[in-house]
Amino acid sequence: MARPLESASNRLLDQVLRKVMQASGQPSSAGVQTASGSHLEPELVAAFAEGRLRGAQLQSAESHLAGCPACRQLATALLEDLGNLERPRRRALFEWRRWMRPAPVLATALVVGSVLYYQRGQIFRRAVQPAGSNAEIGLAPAPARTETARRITREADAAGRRDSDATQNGPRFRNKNQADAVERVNKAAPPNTSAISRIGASAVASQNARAVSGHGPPDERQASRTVGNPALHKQEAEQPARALQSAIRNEPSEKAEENRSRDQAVPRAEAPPARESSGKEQPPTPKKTLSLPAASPARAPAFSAGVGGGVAGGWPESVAALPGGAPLRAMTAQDNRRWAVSDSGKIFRSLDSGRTWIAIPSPTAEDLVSIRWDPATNSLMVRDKQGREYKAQP
Amino acid sequence: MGATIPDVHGIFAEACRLADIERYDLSAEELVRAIEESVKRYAPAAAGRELRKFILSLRLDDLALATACARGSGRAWGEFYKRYHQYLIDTAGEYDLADQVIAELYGTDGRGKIGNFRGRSSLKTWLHALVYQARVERHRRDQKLVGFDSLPAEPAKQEHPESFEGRDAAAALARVLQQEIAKLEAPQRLLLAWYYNDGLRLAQIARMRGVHESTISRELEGIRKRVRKQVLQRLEEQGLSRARIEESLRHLAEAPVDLDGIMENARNSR
Repeated sequence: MARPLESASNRLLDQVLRKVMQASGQPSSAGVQTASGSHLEPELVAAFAEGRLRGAQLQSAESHLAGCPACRQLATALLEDLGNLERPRRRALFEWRRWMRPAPVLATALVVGSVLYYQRGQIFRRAVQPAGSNAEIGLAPAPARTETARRITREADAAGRRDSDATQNGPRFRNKNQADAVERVNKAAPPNTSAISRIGASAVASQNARAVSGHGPPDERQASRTVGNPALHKQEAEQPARALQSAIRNEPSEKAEENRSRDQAVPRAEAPPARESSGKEQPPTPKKTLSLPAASPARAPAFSAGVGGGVAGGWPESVAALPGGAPLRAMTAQDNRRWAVSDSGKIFRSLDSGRTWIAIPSPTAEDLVSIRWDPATNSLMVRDKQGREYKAQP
Repeated sequence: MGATIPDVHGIFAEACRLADIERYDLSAEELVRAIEESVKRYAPAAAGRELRKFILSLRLDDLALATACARGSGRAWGEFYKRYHQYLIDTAGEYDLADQVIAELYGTDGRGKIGNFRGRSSLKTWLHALVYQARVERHRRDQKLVGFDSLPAEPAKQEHPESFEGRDAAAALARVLQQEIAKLEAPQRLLLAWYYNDGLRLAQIARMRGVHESTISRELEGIRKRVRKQVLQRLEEQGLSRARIEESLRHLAEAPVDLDGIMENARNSR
């Protein structure tokens, strides 16, 4: 930082330099002659003004111009008229123009940004809007082509190919125990019944048994935990005891029948004679997995609702517990994909028939009680406690 | 083509193509001769790639037009008139000056100034320079006719009685300053001349140099610093104290010193 004395000295030096330069730069008595006695050719001055001189020629020209006011004036005049110099009287206008120069770009960016923001808002609203509203206005499901979505699509395609192979070449099992378990399940259930129905039935049985035995949550809570057709879930929630009693008595409930009639994609099967219900307390569900023993076909419809078609064979006999210990409220399947809902709007997806789960975006934070696959829109429909239905991206 | 300079990689053929010589009824030999003149004048030592680069840096289209005009081609003059007549009028600001420049270009004996164009700059800028020169010449000519009464009064150059003591030191300071400025490189001297003599602003100089204003400011500050350091060192070598130098600086800056006389003495003493 310059000291005051030094600063004052610099100012004096500036004044002296100006004086000396002006005195030494004064033209001689001839008025036009320089020390060298000649001027630059107009063409060279013009070339200098155009910036076309290089190397020694540029140095020579600069040296001459520094000592020749006439040539320098010519060069400055050319530079001014070539537009390389600002004109002081146009300073304000120039500055105004300079500030206004990016205005079209900014305006365009603003418009584009507004449109994108509006469209993004529309997409978001579509995602969280209840399905009924979407159906009313005929909106297609909002595309979510993020990188995650593309990755999931690839995984699903790959899984679909694996299933296709499995369907054509018979089920593949990782070990003999697994194959035996599946065989047991297949034997226990009629051949045309969806495997997910059997799994669901066992899950219902397990949870209902827990409720009956007093290990489960209170009635209201237990009702919401019932896995079933989302369309009928509200009614089921209102009459949990009745449905439960019916299921225990191996009587096909009205809802189950109605549910089965709605599920067009699943091959309908005649309900075989229900196995005798022992009436004993079922063992509690393991902590990490939902135990899926051979199911009672009579209870299958309660869980098969929303299944868009199962693959014969190859189902695991149990699904893994949801991440974070989230309670499984309802589950649906499409091919070998599974979707499960839980509290706080959590939705989980499994691409390996329930062995592993990952959380997927949810349109709501409400506790979800049912889920179904909508084949018309190829999307998931989830429902909360209040009966509001949302569309979720699979 | 009878060229006296080597035809580097068919540069003349390429130059003829670039100049579009058929447009002005100009032969290749005539254009090559004009290029040779330009090379002899502006790049006599160039050879090989450097020569080729120089030739390609010429405004060959303008050179072809000027050469054809100098040869007396009516077609070329028509093109010249179409392109530059209005521009000359606009630049001159009046018809008389523009007509004078055109007359000088054409020449009464057929050897006008247009033949002096060598393609080093654009024809347009060169014409602008000619107009400026013509205006300056006319101004000087008119000035000589101005009566003594209208001449501006010389500013009084009277020194304050107190400043007589510092006169010698101030003269020494001015001489050293001038010598140190002369030691600067050409671009630096030109920068000082633009800033101190012509009164151009930093922004204007920056635009001419094609750099940012702050670059010019830093360069100017560097020059000042260097000059100050050298001047102090030399004056101290001459036996002047730092305080005396500061006093001389103030004297030179504020008192009306006859710097022209000092400069003249310095020039004569060299």
